[in-house]
Amino acid sequence: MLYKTGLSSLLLFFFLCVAPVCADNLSLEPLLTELKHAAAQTETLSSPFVQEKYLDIFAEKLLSDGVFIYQKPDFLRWELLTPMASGFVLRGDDGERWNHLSQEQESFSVTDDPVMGMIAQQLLAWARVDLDWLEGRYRIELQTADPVVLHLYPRDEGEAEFIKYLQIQFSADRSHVVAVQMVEQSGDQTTITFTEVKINSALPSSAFQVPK
Amino acid sequence: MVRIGAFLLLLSLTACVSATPPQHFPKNCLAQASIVQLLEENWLNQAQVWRLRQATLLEAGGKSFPLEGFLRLDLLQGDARLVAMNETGLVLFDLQVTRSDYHLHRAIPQLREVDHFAKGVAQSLRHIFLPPQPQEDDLLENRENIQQLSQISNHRNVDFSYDCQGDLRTIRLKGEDGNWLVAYDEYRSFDNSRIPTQIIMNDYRQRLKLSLWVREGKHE
Repeated sequence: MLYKTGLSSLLLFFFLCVAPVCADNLSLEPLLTELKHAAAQTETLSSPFVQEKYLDIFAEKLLSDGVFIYQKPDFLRWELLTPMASGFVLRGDDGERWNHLSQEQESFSVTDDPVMGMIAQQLLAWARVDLDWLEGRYRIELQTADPVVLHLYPRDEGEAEFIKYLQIQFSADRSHVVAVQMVEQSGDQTTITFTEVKINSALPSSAFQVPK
Repeated sequence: MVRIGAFLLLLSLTACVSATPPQHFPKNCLAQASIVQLLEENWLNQAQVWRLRQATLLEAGGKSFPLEGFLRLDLLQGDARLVAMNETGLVLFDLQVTRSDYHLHRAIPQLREVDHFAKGVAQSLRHIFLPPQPQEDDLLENRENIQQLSQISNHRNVDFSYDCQGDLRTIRLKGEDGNWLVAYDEYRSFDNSRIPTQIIMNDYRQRLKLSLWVREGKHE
């Protein structure tokens, strides 16, 4: 189900600087405590990002870029700037999405739209450090501690049919995520790198509005 | 993704799609190419393999759905393979089309459940990239800055329009096996070859419109 809702929800979640938990690996606990503490201090996050999509069948790498913004407790913006301007904003239960090609602007409610509802559920779960929710969905392994790199393996068979694993890399000071990579069973990979992360900076009033 | 499925289900509804916008042909010039020249310069008649990154807008049933796409077009073998993604890079479907067949390599479950989804998209791609070819015995008509080649038979008519630069600008097919128009605009050079970077296909029978904007192109 997570796969069906798109990578964006995963990325948004991980960008909230909340630590995953591996019940089988007790050595993770001090690290997770540290990451959880950092997440609790976060009021806002914003960063440009670069998205690299590697298509295995064509041996082709496709580049896109965009902007991500989050504000506690449940405001967010996911905007792709190139090559196709599109994105969505979420304000609590309600949001809007847009696309330059279709020139359409569409309102949605997480209570009526199951896809956006799932995204909001994930975002809120992570913002609230809902570890039960995360443990139920992924088996998590610590790859390296410096920098912190985690691998997440989906427990759901449907999701595992498509996704081999997710790799999450934190910044050197462990205050935020700097890169997320989704490795698919097909051989495709999507890597999103957050290039200039700002934590707890003032956001423009238009941060959660559809662009004019 | 539910939105995708719901949208595609609308393909069978009766709402009309928007018309193909009027094309702008170069003026103050005469289109005087021979049939042989028109056939030789047709970008779809080159023995090349293209790798095209494109944005796609699919319209049907009064709705529209934007996609990011990467297309491998083998004009030598008559084979097109499209991988379509959403804005997060998630692959929605991977479809390969030939002049006579198609194969859906993969698709998200919601798309696999939609009847005739792959067939409908394959047909649209075939109209655009693997259409009927003009022939040397086609009827040639010169109209100042436009030339037209026509194939007329009992079961269908196919018209090919060219501008004064010799670029293929429209293919119009009407007959028992279809009723559609493809408009090729905004030619640009990639790897020293000219290709259209804005393509609009309007299938009047299926009430489906597919618009493509080529962002990047290169030879394989």
